[in-house]
Amino acid sequence: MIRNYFKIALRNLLKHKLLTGINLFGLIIGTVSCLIILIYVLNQTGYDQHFDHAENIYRIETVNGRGDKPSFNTATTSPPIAPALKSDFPEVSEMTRIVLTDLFNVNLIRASLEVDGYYEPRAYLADSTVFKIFQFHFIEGSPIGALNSPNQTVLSATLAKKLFGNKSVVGKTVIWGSGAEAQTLTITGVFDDESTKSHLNPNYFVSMTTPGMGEFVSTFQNFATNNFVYSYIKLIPDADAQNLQEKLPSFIQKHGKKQLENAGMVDKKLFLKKITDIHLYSEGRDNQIGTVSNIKYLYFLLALAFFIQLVACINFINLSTARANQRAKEIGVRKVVGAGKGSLIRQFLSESLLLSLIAMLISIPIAILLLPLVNELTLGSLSYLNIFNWKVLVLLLSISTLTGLLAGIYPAIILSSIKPIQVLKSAVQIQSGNGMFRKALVVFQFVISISLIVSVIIITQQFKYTQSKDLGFNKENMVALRAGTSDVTSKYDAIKSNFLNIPGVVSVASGRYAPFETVLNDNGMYLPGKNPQDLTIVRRNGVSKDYFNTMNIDLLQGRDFNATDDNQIIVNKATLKSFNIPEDKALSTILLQTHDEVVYEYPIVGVVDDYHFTTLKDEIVPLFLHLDNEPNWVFVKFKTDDYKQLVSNLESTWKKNIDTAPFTYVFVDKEVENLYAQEQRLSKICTVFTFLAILISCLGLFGLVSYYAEQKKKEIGIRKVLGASVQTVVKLLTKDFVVLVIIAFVIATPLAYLAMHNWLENFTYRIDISVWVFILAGIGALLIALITVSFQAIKAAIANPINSLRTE
Amino acid sequence: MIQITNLEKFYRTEEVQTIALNKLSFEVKKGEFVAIMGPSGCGKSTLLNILGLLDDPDGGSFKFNGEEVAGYNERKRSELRKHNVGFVFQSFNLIDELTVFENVELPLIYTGVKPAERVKRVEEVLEKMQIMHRRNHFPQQLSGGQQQRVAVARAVVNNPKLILADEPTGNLDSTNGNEVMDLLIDLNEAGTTIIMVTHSEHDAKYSHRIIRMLDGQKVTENILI
Repeated sequence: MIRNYFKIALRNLLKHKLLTGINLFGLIIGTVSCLIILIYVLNQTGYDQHFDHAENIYRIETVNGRGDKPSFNTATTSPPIAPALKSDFPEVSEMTRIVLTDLFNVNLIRASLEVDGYYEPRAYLADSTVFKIFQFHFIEGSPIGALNSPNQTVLSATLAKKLFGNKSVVGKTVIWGSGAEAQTLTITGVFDDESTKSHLNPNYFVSMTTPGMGEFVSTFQNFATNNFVYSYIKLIPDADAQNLQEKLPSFIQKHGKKQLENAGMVDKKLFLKKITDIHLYSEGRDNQIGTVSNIKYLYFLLALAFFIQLVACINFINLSTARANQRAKEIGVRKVVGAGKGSLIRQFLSESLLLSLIAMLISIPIAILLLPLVNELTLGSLSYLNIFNWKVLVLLLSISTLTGLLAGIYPAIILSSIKPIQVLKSAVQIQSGNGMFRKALVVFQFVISISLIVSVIIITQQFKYTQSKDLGFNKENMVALRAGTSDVTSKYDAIKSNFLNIPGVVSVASGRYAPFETVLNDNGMYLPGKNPQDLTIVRRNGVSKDYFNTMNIDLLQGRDFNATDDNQIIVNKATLKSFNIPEDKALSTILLQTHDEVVYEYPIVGVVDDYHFTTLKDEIVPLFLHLDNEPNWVFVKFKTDDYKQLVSNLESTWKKNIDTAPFTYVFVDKEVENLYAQEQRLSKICTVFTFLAILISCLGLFGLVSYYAEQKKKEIGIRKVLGASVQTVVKLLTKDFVVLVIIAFVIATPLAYLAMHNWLENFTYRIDISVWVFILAGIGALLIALITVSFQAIKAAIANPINSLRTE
Repeated sequence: MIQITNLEKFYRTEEVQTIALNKLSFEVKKGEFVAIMGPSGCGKSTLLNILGLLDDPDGGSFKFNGEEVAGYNERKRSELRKHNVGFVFQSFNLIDELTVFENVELPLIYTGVKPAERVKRVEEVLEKMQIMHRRNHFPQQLSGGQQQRVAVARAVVNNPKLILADEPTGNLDSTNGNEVMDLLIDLNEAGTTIIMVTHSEHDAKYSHRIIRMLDGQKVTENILI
C-alpha cells in the first residue's frame, strides 16, 4: 500500500512539473533556512555544559543602585567575595577568580626577547583552583598544580603553536609584558581550545599569585569597590542555590557594611548566575568576559526560519487544494473501488511527505555549499560536521516530517472528502476546499512579506543612522596604534615628534581607551559640602595633551591639559548636568573622591561637548578625562590618500623607536563600524530572508493564478466572444489578488510597527519610524504581486477563446 | 439479491426540489442480467449510484443480499461495496497516473490482498480480457475499447457478486462495444449479477430483463428470456 502511495505520488509530482517545481523550490528554500539556522542555534547553545556538574557552577554578579537604571550592573565582583563565600557557606565546595588582563593591558606575550610579541586577547589571571571548576582538556602537562606558583602559565594549543610552532612547550618560558614590567612565565600546560565550548574562551591563563595585578587581587580585602573580578563558585550536589542567593544580602553586609557605606554602595547586591546561562541570558549585564550572544537573537532567527517554511507550506496547501478538480476523478475512482477516507488521507499525506523529504535531501548539499557565506554573515565557523550530527539530522527529519504533515493535512482532508458520484459521471466543476481559507493563507503570506520589507528598511535606516550620526568626535582619517607597554610610555614624546614629521600626519595624541572601546573605569564622586556617600559614578579616561584637538572634540570651556597637570580634570557636559553644576561655575568647581578614607580633589579645568564614548545603544553618561602618561593607544590623525605609504612610514618610525612592542594598528572608523556589526549582520540576514519570503510567496501566487486562469478559461472565452477586451479580462483575474495584498498591508502595518518600535527601543539614539516606510513596503509588495499575477493573466486574456470553448 | 421497495431520492437546491426517484420498487435475483433504460434525467444514474452503495436513498428500503443497507454510513457502505460491487463506467474512469496493471490491482490493494496473490489475480484477469500485452501501458496509450476492457478487468478482479455498468459502450464504436458486451455476457454466465444502464436498445437485448424508467418511476418491465 505504502509503495503504491509513493509510486503514484512520484508520478503525480513528475506530471505536474510547474506545480512540483514551485512547491519543491519553496520547501527547499524553507528547509535550507531551517537547517542553517538550526545548526547556528545549536552551535550557540550548550555552552559550558561539559564541565563536571555544570549545573552547580555559578558566577557571582553585582548590581548597585535602585530602580530601573542602577549605577552599575556587571558580571564581576570585588576581589574578596568569592573566597569569603567559600569560607562562610559549607554548600560552596570550590571557588575560583579570573581577571581579564586586557583591563590593565599586559597581554603582550612573546616566546623570547629576541622575537616579536603579540597582543593576545583573552589572557586571564586565575586562581590555582580554576581547573578544579573548569576542566579543560590538557594536551600537554597536567591541570593539577598548573597555576599553583607565581609566574606560571597555561597556554591554549592555538597560542602555543603560534609562539613555538609544533614543539613541545611545557617547561619552556614566555615573556609577558614589556620593558621594566616584563615578567618571565613558565609554561606548565597546554589545553585544547578547539573542542571547548565555554563562555571563557581562554587564550592563556597566568597564575593569580604572579607579581602585579594578581597580587593586588589576592590581598585586597574591600567588599565594595574594584568590581572587576570574575568570581565563580561550585556548589555541592543538591545544594539549594536559591537558598544561598537569599543569604547573600546578609553576607555582604556582614563583611562590608562600612566599606559599602564609604564607597556609597549601600545598595550593592550580589546575584548567582548559572554558568550554563551566561552565553545566552546575559542581556543587560555589562563587562562580560568575551562575547556573549542573546537568546532573543536566536529566537528571532528561529522565527524567521519558521516563517519561511510556513510560507512554503502555504504554497503547497493553496496549490494542492486549488487543483483538486484535476484529481477529482482519481479520488472518485479510488473511492469506488474501495478506498476509505483514511486511506486517501494517508495517500495525500504521503505525497506532501515525499515532497518535503525530497526537499530535505536536496537541502543538505545546498546548505553545505552555503556555509562559507553563512560564516561570513554571522562571523561563525560552522562546517559540514555541524550538519552531519545525529541531533541535527534527527531534528531536520522531524522538521521535514512536520512540514510534510502540516502542508498535506488540509489538502488531504479536502481532497478525500470529494464524493465519487460528483465526479465520475460528469465534468462538473467541484468546489474544493474553502476559497476563503485559501485567500486567508495568501493574505498571511503577504503579511509576512510586507512585515519583513518594513523591518529591513527600518533596520537598514537605523544602521545607516549609526554610521552617519555625528558622534561628537572625528573617526575618519585616524589610525590607532596599540601601545600599552612601559617602553612606549617612556618614549611617547619621541614617537610623537617623529610621527609628526611623517608627510600627511596632522596630529598625534594618546589615551587609555580608544573611541571604539567601552570606558569601564569609573570613580564615585561628590561635590564639596555634599554627603560623601551620595556618589555619582563618573567614567574615567586618561588622555594626553592634544587629545581633544586630534579627536576633534569641542572644548567648550577652559583649556587643554598641560604637562604640569596632576589631578586636574576635563569633564563632559553630562557631568555638569548630573552634578547640577551651572556652566559658568564649571571651571571653579572641584569634584571629590574618597578612597580608603583619604579625600582626593579633582579641579575642573575644562568642559568638552558630549561625545559618544560608548555605543549609540547607551546614553551619554558623565565622563572625566585626566592627563595620563601610560597610554594603551596612540592616535594619529592624517590627511593623505596614500594609506599604504602612511602605514609603512608609521611602522618604520615605530620600529626605530620601539623594540619591545609590535607595530599593530587599526583604522578608527572601521572599528567604530564594527561596534554595530551585529546590527549590520541583522540587516543583511533580514534582507536575505525577506527576499526569500517574497520569492516564495510570489511563486505561490504565480501557481495559484495559473490555476485560477485555468478554472476561468471558459468564462474568459465567453466574455471575449461577447466582446470583452484583454484589459477587462486581466482586471478580472488580478483584482482579487490586489485586494488580498491590500488586506495584508492593513494587517502587517501595525504588526511591523510594533515589532520595529520595540527593536528601536534598544537604541538610545534612534531614527523615527516614518510613515513612508510602510507606504513604500505596501507599494513594493503590491507591485511585485501585480507583476507576478499579470504574467499569467495576460497570457489567459490573449488566448484564442475558440480553443477554450471547444475543449468544454 | 437486490430488493428495493418504495425507494425515494430528492435533490434539493435552495429554491427547487427535484424528485430523482419516486417510490421505485423492483427486485434483482442472483445471476440475473438486468438492463435499465429511459430518457436522460429519468433517474437511471441516481438509481445506479444507490445500488452501487455510492449514495444513500432519502426514503424506502434497499436490501442487499437480504440486509437492509438504506441508512448505512459512508464507512459501512464502502466496506460492503469493496467486497461485493464492481463498476464499469461510460468514460472508463481509469487513473491516468497508473499503468494497466496498477489500475486493475487497485481494488485488491484496498481489500488487503497480499502482493503475490495480487499479481496472480491481476494477470489472470488481464489474460481473460486479452489485454495482458498492455499491462505496463498507461491509459492514454490505449484505444477506447482497450481502456474499457481494463475497466471491466478492474471491476471483476475482486470477484464481485454484482457488476454495475453505466452505459459501458457509450464511448465505443460498435465493434469494441460488442466486445465489451460479450465480456459482460461471459461474466454473467459465470454467475455474476449485472445491472446495466443503457440508452442502446442493441445492448439492452443482451440482458434478461429490461426495466424502463420515466421521471423516477418504473414504467414497464420486459422479460427477454
